[in-house]
Amino acid sequence: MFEFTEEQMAVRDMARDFAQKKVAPLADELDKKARYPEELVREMSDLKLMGMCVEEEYGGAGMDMVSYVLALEEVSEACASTGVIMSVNNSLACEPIKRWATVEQKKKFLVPLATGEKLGCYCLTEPEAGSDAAAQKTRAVKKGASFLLTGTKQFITNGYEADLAIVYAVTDPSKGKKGITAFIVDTKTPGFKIAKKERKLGIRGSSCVQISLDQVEVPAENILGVEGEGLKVALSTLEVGRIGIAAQANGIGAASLACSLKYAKEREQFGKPIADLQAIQFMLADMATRLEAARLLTYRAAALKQQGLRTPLESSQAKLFASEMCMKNAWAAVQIHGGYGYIEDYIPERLFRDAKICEIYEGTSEVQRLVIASTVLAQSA
Amino acid sequence: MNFSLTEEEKSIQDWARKLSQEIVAPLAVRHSQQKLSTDYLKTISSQGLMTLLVPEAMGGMGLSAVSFALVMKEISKVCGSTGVSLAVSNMIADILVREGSPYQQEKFLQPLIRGETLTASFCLTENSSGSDASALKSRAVKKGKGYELSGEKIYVTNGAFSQFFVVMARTSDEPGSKGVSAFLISRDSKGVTMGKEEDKMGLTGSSTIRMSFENVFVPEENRIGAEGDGFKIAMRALDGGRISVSSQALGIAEASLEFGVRYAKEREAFGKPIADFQAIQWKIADSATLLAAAELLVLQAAYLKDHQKPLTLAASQAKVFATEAAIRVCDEMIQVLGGYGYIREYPVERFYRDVRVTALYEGTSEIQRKVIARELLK
Repeated sequence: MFEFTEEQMAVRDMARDFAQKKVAPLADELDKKARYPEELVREMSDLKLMGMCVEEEYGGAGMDMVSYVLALEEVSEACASTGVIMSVNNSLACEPIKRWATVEQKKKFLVPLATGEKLGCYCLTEPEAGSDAAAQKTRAVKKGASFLLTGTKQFITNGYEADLAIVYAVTDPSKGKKGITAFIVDTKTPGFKIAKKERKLGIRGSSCVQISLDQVEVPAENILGVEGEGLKVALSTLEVGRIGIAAQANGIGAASLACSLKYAKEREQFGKPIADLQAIQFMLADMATRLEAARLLTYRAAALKQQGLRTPLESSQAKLFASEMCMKNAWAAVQIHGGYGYIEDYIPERLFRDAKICEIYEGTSEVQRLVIASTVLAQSA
Repeated sequence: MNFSLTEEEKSIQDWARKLSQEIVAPLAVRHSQQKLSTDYLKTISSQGLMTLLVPEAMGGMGLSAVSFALVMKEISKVCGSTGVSLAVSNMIADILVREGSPYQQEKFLQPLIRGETLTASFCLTENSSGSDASALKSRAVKKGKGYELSGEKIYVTNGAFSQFFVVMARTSDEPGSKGVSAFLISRDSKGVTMGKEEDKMGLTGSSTIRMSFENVFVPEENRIGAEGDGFKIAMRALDGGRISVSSQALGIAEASLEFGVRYAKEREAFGKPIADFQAIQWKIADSATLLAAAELLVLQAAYLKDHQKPLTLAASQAKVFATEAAIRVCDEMIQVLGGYGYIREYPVERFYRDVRVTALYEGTSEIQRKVIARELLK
């Protein structure tokens, strides 16, 4: 019940080894320079970390979702920016194509994404459609065998480097939520422009851009799923995406605990290590307990998703709890480090900034609570 | 990783639900006002609920720790007082299975299995030794082929119903935990006096008494383990006890949440059900998430116990998280019910009072955090 398979442990160990040896030494520089870690993404591709749950015939690693969250936690523990780059490609680019695409589309788009030859991004959010994702304004107008996409997409992670984008647009404004369609778009298509590169509080090593679409021509065969059923694609994708963000949050939470344990044993005040003081011990105890609870919620969601089940409740519970856990743990890490926690020479300063995003993207904590409450209320007789 | 219950676990859960509805529920309100009755405890005992973890070969139910946790939750969901009575009896039975001699199993465990003693009790806490358990003062002095034991014990759960007690007492002058031994003492031994029944905030149906022991003769064969092993025996028992108290807390909180959710859908304010307000939805979402996380921690600890894996960290994490989550949920559901949450006509008032003690007994939250920190800093 609560044991990993040998394969899952092997994947975790491999990811840990890579994360500690290759990713961790770069984390500080990526953050300070807001630099995209191209070399790490290449190595992650070689290690098959960019399309972990994609079938081998489509270039992926053919692994299960628990292995994926274990690996993602390890990478995120070393560097949350690298973690989100991996998460977006796996959860938001590969997963919807794996789930909804035709065989032809998979051959054309999934293979390069899963092998890491190409990088994916996910264009759902708009300047005026955040939590209310269905309020899409981007239009897709039919023209012959193609659609012309026009609109603005906001907060697109990986957007600066991405080769392929999953883009949501309104194909039939008269049908409201049922008039939204998902497209697979080549970012080199004329009219697809990076309008602005955002400067962020944290996860500065990953890009976040505003994209403007001006009459971007997308062939009709690039529709992902069924025309008008884009919201269905979006919601099922977010169920996986939220598990990914939960894993990323677990990584940040684990990093917060690890540096705090180390520091508490070394740092002396009042003639003894601060780890001997209950005020510090209790913070450490709560960090570890919350982290363990968050991990179990994440593994549960991943294990159920692996069985092919819908997991709105489990994904949202994992995402909500894990992201709030990592914020609390990062807060505690800064507090335990005292003044040193506030300066850039020590890891907690970065963790504190990185943690916050987990409560916001792929559905704010408020959206998760909406999903959870509506599910619980619906289940009650 | 696989979070589904096995077929066997599901059938045990169903069995516990059925018993809860048929036996426990009809008397739950009464047992929130007066002590569990002897007849009721006989029925509970006859279903094997007091010796769930005892192997079938010895006459018990032979449940795994995971199944045990599931049963504890279901029973406690309907009546927390019955839950704690089960928790302590099963913990004593577990001690006797693990640490007891064949003689002790025959003389004490078998009567518990057969229902000749309805419950069993644990005497560890004293007036001046609670969290600092190893500071206990009760003494057992060697005399002939046994000991003479004297001391005062408090917070003895099931005291009114138990025919025997596991009593911790000091057998040497070594300070701290090393000089403590564990003894089995029958209720009818000379020198045993049953003291005052405590008047508690909640769990009114369960018995919590003081006891005094005055030169009680305890034959050597009634000592569990070797001299000086008592504290270790107690701590091993508490690892398991923490799982059952966590399950008890989960059961009470789940009952509270279910009631709150039903109420929120029915109660109207400002022209619509209060469940339509985000203020209420948030309480429901947070409560459901906390309980989901807590249950996973509890089941994980039980799973580790079943597989003889190191348990201390997981059991303490489960205990502190589950009990504090449960208390918060029970508090939030009072808020959902508003004034109706504060009056005894509605059960959430009882759940709130019943659940509070779970963060106190079997090691306070503070002790759990101490244990967790110690394990982390090793």
